[in-house]
Amino acid sequence: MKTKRIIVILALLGALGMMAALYMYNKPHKNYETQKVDITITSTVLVKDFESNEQEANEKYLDKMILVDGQIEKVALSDHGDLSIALVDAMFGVTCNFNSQLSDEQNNLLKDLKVGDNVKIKGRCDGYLSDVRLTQCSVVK
Amino acid sequence: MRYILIFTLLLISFLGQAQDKYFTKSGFISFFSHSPMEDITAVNKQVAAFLDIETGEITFAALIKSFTFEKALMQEHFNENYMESDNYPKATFKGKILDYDKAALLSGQPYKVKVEGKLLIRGIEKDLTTDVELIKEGNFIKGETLFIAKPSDFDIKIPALVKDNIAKEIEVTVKTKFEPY
Repeated sequence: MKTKRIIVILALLGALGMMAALYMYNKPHKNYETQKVDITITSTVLVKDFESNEQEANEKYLDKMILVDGQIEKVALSDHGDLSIALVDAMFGVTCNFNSQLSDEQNNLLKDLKVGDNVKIKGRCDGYLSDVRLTQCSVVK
Repeated sequence: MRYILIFTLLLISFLGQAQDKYFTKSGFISFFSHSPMEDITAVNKQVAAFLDIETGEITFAALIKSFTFEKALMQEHFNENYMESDNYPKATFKGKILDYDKAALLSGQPYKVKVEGKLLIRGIEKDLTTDVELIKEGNFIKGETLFIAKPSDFDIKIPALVKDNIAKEIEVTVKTKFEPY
């Protein structure tokens, strides 16, 4: 009788463990549109920080949710169908990459944007190439 | 006055070179790991690349954090445990087309070449030679290659528990559409 109970408890624990593991394995990606902002900064200062000391800037900004404001220099659609908006400079500025699947609200906010507009964009900082790269971006009203 | 002169000279030399350079900010790199346990794919569509059509030099730079996986957990492990992307945020390749022939590149016909260079991942540099197909289409130059990278070459430690889930040889695919600088 006692051994039977132990077996049942063990089996339950095992099943729970399996469920936890399965949940972890299938954990969804973060929703970056609703993610809270870690750092608010102007795009020119963000670029300067990376230009003057990339390592220091990496420590400060990498993986953080950044809210930048700045002037749109270029709007581009890649051949993969992904939208990107360059602030400050097309080559050496801040490049904000958007996902191909966006919410209706985002699409609405994006469709009126044009070169020269001032805009606030939120995104995760992935690092610095010739430009500062933000990914998983969304426009902030 | 002197500064204006220097600036003008710099600008002229820059412009002089400009039309020889092609670039992209949205190059595509994916890698594929096949193992009996599972297949894993990751994609980065935000790769920066330059091609100098005068010299045949090619450079690539990709941010590790920009690789996306189907499973969030894999992406986390990739960044935190294997690639340590906080310490090594980018991977680069600097190379040159062997026996470069500018006319063949610009012919509009597929131009099959070998590119030789150095691949830098996690601060470790390895020689890499790979077959590349380039083709000029209108204003653009398209390029494509596939090569094998070994995690062990870059000192990537795979825990014993998951060593059967991750291939010893990772297939890397690169596709770019360069535009004039």
